Amino acid sequence: MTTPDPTRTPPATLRRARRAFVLVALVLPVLIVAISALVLTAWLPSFPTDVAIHWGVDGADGFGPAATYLWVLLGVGLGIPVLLTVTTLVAVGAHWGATARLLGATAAGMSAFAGVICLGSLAIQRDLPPSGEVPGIAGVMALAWAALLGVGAMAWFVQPRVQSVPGAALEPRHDVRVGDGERVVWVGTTTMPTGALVFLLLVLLGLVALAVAMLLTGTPLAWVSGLVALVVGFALAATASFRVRVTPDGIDARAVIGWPRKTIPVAEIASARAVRMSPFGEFGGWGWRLAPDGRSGIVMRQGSAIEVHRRDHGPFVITIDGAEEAAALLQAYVDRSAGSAAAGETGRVAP
Amino acid sequence: MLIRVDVDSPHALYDQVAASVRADILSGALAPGDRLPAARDVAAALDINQHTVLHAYQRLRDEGLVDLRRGRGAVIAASAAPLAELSHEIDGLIRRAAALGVSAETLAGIVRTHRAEAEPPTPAATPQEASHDDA
Repeated sequence: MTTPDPTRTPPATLRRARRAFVLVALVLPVLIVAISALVLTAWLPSFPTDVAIHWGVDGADGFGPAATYLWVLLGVGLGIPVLLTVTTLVAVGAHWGATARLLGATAAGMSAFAGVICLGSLAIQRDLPPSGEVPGIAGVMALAWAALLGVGAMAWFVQPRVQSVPGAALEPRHDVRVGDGERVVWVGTTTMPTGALVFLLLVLLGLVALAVAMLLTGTPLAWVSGLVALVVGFALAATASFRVRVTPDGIDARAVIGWPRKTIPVAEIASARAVRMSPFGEFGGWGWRLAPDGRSGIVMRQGSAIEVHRRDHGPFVITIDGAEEAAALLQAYVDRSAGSAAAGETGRVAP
Repeated sequence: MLIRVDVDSPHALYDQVAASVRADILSGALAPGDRLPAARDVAAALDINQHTVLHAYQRLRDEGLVDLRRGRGAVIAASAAPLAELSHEIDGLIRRAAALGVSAETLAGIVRTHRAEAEPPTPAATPQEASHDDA
């Protein structure tokens, strides 16, 4: 992209934010896991026999070697934060916002959670007589959640607050005019990026293969994996691609399978314009999204989007190529219906 | 993609849909490789029959502006690329012809049956000659 993107976070702010993020989401978990692992390893000799590794409603019901906790510590305490760090840094790019900050806090909290769970579960079983009852895990769980929230909150406040920059308005290349007797419509499609689609299709294929394998080998509850494959397949079909159209009646967006669908009649629209926006920055992700501030929309990629301001609801956003013409046409129809309330003139949108 | 039809126009609807696409190509809004929306979606948006839109797409295919491919639908052909370059001259030609009282239909007939000649027969009958005078 050669044109400057006004929604990019300013470089200095971005550097500060990313540095703080890496500190809480990566450095802190590494420290927590390293210290916890050292303590855990030091304790291992005092657990020669199997220990409780799972608790049910009636107390400890699963047992295994004490070293299991080391793997849990590494997987949950380090693996998850690493995953969160990498995906956030890659996905957010230069559009930092509250979502990235939250993910940083989550990563930090997860490592504290894992540390407390692993060390706590072993600690309560130390110095236990061989035939002793294993104590309940409720206390450790409570402490672990407290650690998650406490460390998470600290990690949140350590990171700087970065407002996602609202997108600049985009103008169409040519005037969009609607003459008397003309029926002018805009038709387009918005699809999730090819890479994401391919990845999700592979995941779906894997699930189907798993379901088939389970069915053929007569594994119990094979139907569950079949159901999962079905649900994932349906979810993909429902959110991968949307057909959008602007007609004199308003704007309509529907998934390829017909549902979900959003129709906004002209009467409900206060104004419409095209903006440049970032899905991760403004909505924390891609797809059909709802934001706490009342914004919602179909956001498939970064870039031009139709922004529909509604009378009785929050704005609805649709990222799509050609958003400039679509929004201009929609605005023309909104103007026309407002004009017809007065004198019945056709609308014309000024550049 | 923006599509406009005039319900009061004497021109057939399929002709108008094709004209709308041609106008987009001329203005550069559509470039070679761009995919036209499915006929079903265009028809639903315009509130006309799907076959009318298909007829328009087939007409554009016959003119070499669009390739109809199975599964991919209608795609703007590579041969449509120079049209945006010519649009300014085409515009000027039609305007000048109209000023001289030559209708678009007459012009279209001449262009369609035009054969390159070394010596133009008469100045008035050949619009090319008129525009050369201007250059």
